Amino acid sequence: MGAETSVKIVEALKVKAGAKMLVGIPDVGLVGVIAASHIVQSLNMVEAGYLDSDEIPPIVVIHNNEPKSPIRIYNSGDLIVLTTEIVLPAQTILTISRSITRWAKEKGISTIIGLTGLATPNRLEIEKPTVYGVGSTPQARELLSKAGIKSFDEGLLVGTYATLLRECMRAEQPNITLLAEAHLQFPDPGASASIIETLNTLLNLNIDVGELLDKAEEIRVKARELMKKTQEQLRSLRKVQEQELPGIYV
Amino acid sequence: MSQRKRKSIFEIFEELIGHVDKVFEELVGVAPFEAPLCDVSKRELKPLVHMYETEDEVIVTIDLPYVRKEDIRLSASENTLKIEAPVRERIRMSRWGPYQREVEFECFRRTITLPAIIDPEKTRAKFKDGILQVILPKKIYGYRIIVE
Repeated sequence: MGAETSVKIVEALKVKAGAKMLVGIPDVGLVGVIAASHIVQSLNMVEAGYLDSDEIPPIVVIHNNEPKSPIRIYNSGDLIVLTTEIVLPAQTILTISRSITRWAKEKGISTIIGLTGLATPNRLEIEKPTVYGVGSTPQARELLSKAGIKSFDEGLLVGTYATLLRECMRAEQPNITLLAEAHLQFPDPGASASIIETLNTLLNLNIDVGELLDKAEEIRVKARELMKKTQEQLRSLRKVQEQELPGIYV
Repeated sequence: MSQRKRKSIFEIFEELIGHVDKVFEELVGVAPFEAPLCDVSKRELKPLVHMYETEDEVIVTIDLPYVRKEDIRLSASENTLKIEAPVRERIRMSRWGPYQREVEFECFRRTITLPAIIDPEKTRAKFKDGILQVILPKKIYGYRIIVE
């Protein structure tokens, strides 16, 4: 099958079987990264592990004098968050997605929920971004429908979240991908707030987005360098295909 | 007849650097070097920019958090767009790294090399939620050819 995994997930704490796992990695508008960061802070989540691989960029994050992996896993009760502040190199996307999926399957994670943005050319005219959902199984689609989340009926997904969704389908690991209307090239905390509100409904959470919206400008300034690197990756992945006219689907 | 403003030596130099970077990027496929989006010594931030072109226009969108509309200074030549915008309050950041010193930024500044010759006098711009959109109509040269 190729791309055998050289990626290891190292657990510092045991995660509960049946938990739901949110994934926030750099993509359109950094929607997932900003949302994941706000969720981890709001719920005071604890670090439960990290992802280790020779293939990820040679970066170590130093926080409070402690070296950490740039791809970390947080946990609180039935909720797990995997997030990173680095752009995943295109050639590692498959192995990383496969490893996350295998690990989730092994640990009995009930659903992987990808959080991302849907590049929207007229985003400037939109006050409150709409969130769309894609479910990998009939049960996942049912969950989306019950929560009143609009379905993403036709179109293409390109990049890390597409690979993660595909790997979940292969492994029969339920996956939901949530996409908020967002700026393609700029950090979009407004879109992240919409995603969190949707998660509040979907997972019966109660995360306040007021602080996130109050700090939107500060987040936009701080996330600029990550957004710039993400822009380069999105160009190399031909992310623009998501906005092209649909092809023929039989 | 409109009088063309003479370019300063700095503007010419900035344009030249822009062209060299563009050619290098086209040939090699990557930017010549990765400059950070700030200049700590000048207390300046370089804004994120998104640019695309249609048949008739070049459309540039610029991310300008902490900026007021009335403070934006925007100017265009036939192939460059220059933006300067002071922020309404100083942006303080604790820098990572061994020094851990705090830095402050006072404005956004960037000169963008455009992918086509445009008509600066017909350029229009709008600003909403800290995002500036500039629409630069292309200068069309040539004659209409009648198809028989």
